[in-house]
Amino acid sequence: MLQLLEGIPTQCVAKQDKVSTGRAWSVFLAPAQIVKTARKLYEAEYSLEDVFALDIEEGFLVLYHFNRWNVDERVVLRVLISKDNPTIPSIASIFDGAEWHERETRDFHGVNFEGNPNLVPLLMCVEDVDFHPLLKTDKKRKQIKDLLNLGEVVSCNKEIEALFAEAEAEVASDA
Amino acid sequence: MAAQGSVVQKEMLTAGAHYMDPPIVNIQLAQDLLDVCRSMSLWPMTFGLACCAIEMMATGMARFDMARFGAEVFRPSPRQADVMIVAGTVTKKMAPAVVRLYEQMPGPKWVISMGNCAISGGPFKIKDNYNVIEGVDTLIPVDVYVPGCPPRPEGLLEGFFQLQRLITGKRWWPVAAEVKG
Ligand code: SF4
Repeated sequence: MLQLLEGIPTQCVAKQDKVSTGRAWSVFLAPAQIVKTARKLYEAEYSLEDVFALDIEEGFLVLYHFNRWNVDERVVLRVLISKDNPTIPSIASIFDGAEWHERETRDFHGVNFEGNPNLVPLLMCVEDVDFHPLLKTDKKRKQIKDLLNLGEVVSCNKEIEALFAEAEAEVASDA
Repeated sequence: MAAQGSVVQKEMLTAGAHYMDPPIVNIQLAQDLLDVCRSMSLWPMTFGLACCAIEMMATGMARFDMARFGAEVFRPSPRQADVMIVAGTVTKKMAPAVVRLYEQMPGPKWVISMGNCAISGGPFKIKDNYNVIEGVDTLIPVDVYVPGCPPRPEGLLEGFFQLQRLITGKRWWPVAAEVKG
């Protein structure tokens, strides 16, 4: 995994606890890097499991799960995008199947996947094109650190670390 | 969310507003005979929308054997069918298709609303429901409701008996004995 990511400016790479999260690696990326990383994973024979978004206080966290049949290494790519301009490049040109996942994510959260060849509603009806049912109310929305665990960090930049900072402090004080 | 208005105007779809040629031989006896024939050879449409459809398939298979009651020929085309079994969840996106299929069926035609979803939205009738039509009878006229989630095949068969009674005015099959214990 780490060799794969060579040459890609990641925001944060961390090992995950397989038992509690079901994944081996978690990689935070900037939106601009997602296509490149997806291509690398494609070349390394990873398959795309799903694409979806989380509505959190910091913005939208778009998640991509990748898996590989001959190695037990489930990877999640995480891209944090802002609410004001929820736009992210599409990876449908690399993984054809991503097209529908992206359409579904657009239906539910209003994330705009730039370059998706057919970004029309998949599950919602056409009249509801501007209605995104999975957007949360302010009361229900949570912070990223309440939902996710950073795991065993390999490399990480300041911003991502800051997002998780408090949670880790709490864990430390519990111990 | 507010209750969903129907996609197509209701008046267009009620049984009464459909145009049907008057019968060639309009004698009551002939009509009664024809009605019996119709009720004993109901052709349902091959059309399932969710989990209830599994139970509908079971009803058609050997164990419950709907063929015993004259309704086993599931037709793949609405133009050959005279019963629509709405078996499952009707979503907003599916609604226009359901309505179109209903309109494509030649008269006389009947609709069985199978399962809680089709009757009222069932488990999806919640405050945050955004995509499920709460009751297929807001779209098309329904003759028989078969409640359950999903209804057992016996339930669907009972629905068919009810439909046969609607058509002919008579229940044709013995009532199952009550099981004690
Ligand atoms: S009524 Fe129950 S079994 Fe039938 S379609 Fe709805 S959820 Fe499924």
